[in-house]
Amino acid sequence: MSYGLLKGICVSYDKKNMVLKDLNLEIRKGELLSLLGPSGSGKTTTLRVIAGLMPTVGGSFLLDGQEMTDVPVHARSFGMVFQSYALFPHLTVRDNIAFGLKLRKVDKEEMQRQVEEMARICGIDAFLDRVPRNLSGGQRQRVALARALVIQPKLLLLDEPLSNLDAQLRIQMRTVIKRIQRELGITTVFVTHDQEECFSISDRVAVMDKGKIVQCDTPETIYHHPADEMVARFVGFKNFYPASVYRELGAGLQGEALSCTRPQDISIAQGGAGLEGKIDVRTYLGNSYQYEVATPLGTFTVVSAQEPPLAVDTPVSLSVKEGKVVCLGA
Amino acid sequence: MRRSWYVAFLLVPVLAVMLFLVLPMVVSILPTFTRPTFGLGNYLRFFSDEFNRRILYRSLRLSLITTLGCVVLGLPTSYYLSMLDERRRQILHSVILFPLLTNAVVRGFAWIAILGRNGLLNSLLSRLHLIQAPVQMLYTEGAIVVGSIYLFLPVMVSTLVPVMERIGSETVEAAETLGAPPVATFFKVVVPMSFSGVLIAAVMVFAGTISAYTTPTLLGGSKNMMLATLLYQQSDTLANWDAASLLSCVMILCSLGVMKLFDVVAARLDKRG
Amino acid sequence: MYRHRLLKCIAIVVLTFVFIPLMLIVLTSFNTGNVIGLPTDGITFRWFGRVFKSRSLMSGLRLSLALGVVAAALGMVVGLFAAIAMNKRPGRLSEFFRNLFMMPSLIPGIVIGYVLFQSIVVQYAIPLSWALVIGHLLIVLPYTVRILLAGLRECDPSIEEAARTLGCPPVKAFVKVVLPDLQPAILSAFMLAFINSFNNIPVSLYLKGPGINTLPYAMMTYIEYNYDPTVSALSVMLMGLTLIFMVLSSLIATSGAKKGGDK
Repeated sequence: MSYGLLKGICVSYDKKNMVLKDLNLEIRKGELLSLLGPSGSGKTTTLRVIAGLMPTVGGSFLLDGQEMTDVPVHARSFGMVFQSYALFPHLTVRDNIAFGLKLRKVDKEEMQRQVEEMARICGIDAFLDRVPRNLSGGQRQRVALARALVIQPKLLLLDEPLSNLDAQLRIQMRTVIKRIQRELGITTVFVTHDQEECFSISDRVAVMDKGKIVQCDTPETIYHHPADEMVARFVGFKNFYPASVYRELGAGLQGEALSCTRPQDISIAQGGAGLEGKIDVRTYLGNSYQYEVATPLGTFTVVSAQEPPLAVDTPVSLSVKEGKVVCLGA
Repeated sequence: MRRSWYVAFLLVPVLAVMLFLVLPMVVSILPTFTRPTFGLGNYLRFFSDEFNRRILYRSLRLSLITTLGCVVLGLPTSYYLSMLDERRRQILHSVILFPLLTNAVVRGFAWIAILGRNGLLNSLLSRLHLIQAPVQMLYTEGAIVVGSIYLFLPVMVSTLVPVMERIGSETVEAAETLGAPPVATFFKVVVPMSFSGVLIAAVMVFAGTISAYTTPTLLGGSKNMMLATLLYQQSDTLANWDAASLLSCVMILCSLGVMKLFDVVAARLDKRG
Repeated sequence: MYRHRLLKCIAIVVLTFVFIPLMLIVLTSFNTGNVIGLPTDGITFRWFGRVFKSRSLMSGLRLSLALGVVAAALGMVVGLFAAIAMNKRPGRLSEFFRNLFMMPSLIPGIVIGYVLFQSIVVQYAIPLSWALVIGHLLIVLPYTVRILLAGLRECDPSIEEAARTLGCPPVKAFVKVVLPDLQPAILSAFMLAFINSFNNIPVSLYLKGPGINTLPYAMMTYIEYNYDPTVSALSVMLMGLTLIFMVLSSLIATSGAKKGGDK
């Protein structure tokens, strides 16, 4: 199953501070694996190590049983899509896509056929003779993808490819990427800081923080069972409290470990059993209201669709819905 | 990039600057402090001469006047240019830039033609019967100042226009909505906000004027020598190497000294603001 | 715009002051008389012919053109390698070197000329023609280094990396994708270097000899002994050259700005 394997990778810019510390990561054949994390967590660095653009100070990288650590970038044959797309401004779309094929000395007619085939798959066959500056953001994105894919890479590496697009186009493009990746069955590593985008297209997700992989699993597992507080916050948990206070909230568990609940999994009511508090701030979210509730245990964030909404300063009681408590580190 | 490549790529220019500029400078200037005795003796002796002292003062004085002239003329002009629309600004900016790329000899020559004894200005004035005999305008300190302002005004304006653009029309409009008339806006908002830019440009003008050779030679003549013309005369005509080396050091100190002074002032301003 | 009437007046005076002298030179070059004056009775082109007949001016022009091209080309090559190195390994050392290369533009020209003369001609006894090339290389170096380094820093580093991931070895990647992207910077660096070498006086002042006089020096000598519109005519020709350079560089700038759109 294991296709690529990063073992004990260490990266340091200045020999003092480690950007990546003993990083281990398994890449499976044909999957779309995401690296998710806040900026500065080392996800792009990891991708650049895989591409060979970032020198390491320790560890090794195996691909298909082959040692890749000392193979130079140009001999690795990985396709990479950059955040800025990095299209060659002086070349037409056709020449941009054909760039890698020319270096592989593919004969003219075959090259023509492959370029046009890939342009068709990526939906840019109408723009082949334009130069990059005359393309929209989404079109540039597709050219960058076609250019990386046409060399039939052993790995496709995507470095925040959607971050420069507007929201609507982002959703459209992630479907395009997923479809092409499925169709070609190409093993892909995808770097992003957007949790929703990441979960929507990944087979597996590696959550990174401070140069380490904190959790590597399917999106569903990470969503329901985050490994620690940082991951939990990243996937939408807002309320954190020691396990011993469950009883107050009506859940009734024991222990000192930290537990957490999403805002929509806490019920809010006027009176009744539960943790007592007072509404501090109310924000309208469109289909529901978000309340910041001040309680003796700190501020809780609760989302409720209840109409009419509760007024600020209303005394309320909070209780966690059945089975919606997640115990971290359990 | 490997270290060996780094060294190889930088070797030629570093060697060129070190061998042909830094080392010769040190070799020329160091003896002025050590021979015949260690200390500032050579300098004190050189400037105890009335003639040399006058040239130093003249250089400093004319450079200062030129700098002030450039500031006074350049500041409103660049403010005006910055308020124009893109197309007009570019056209006028190239009008300013054009002399900057033109040979200093050509520019000096233009003023010879204008200020000369039988020059355009004298013939215009006598034709208007404003003067009886030609007035001596060329080969005066005034000619040097006019020529230098003409030489460096483009430097001042092209440095200040981007500065003025950064101030932005919104700040100016804000001042005007608060009730400041245009003149007050200019002096209370535009001038203080562009101060550091003006300072940079002023340093460039001062250092440029005090080290210029062509303009004082063409417009000042032999009576109104400046440091650069004196240096050339000492070295080329009189082969007095000691004096030339000494003057080199003085000129470097004058132009680099102003830049250092600027750094100090700029650091003060940074702290303040 | 009436609020800024005073401002406008000052600006017009300044622009006139900047522009009129050169315009007058253009007019005097057509004067029929033997002195420098405005052409009141008809115009003539004979002074332009005189420029081509003057041996000292023509040999000066040839030398300055050749020297400008050689110095600018040399400065380009040397400056490009230096800029690449400083761009690839930024840091204290590179910053130090950058300041070192800026030195020739900070030190008074006459001082550079003098110490160059002392070292190259007096101490190292290098032939004059080589000395001129070295001197002018020093003059153009600050311009080429500054423009090329700025150009390289503006280039998206991912472009080079993209070429490498597609199978380009490092040197080939630089030549195939970075160099074309750098083209506007290279052209404007070359032009600025050429103009600065072509217009330089102080350095050439010391590095002259029998038959080796640059154009600005030849012009100064000519002005010293003659008062006729020949120099006006030559000035007009040089202004034409400047104008061509300005138009070229603004064309390059606009094509560069268009390309900047995709970054």
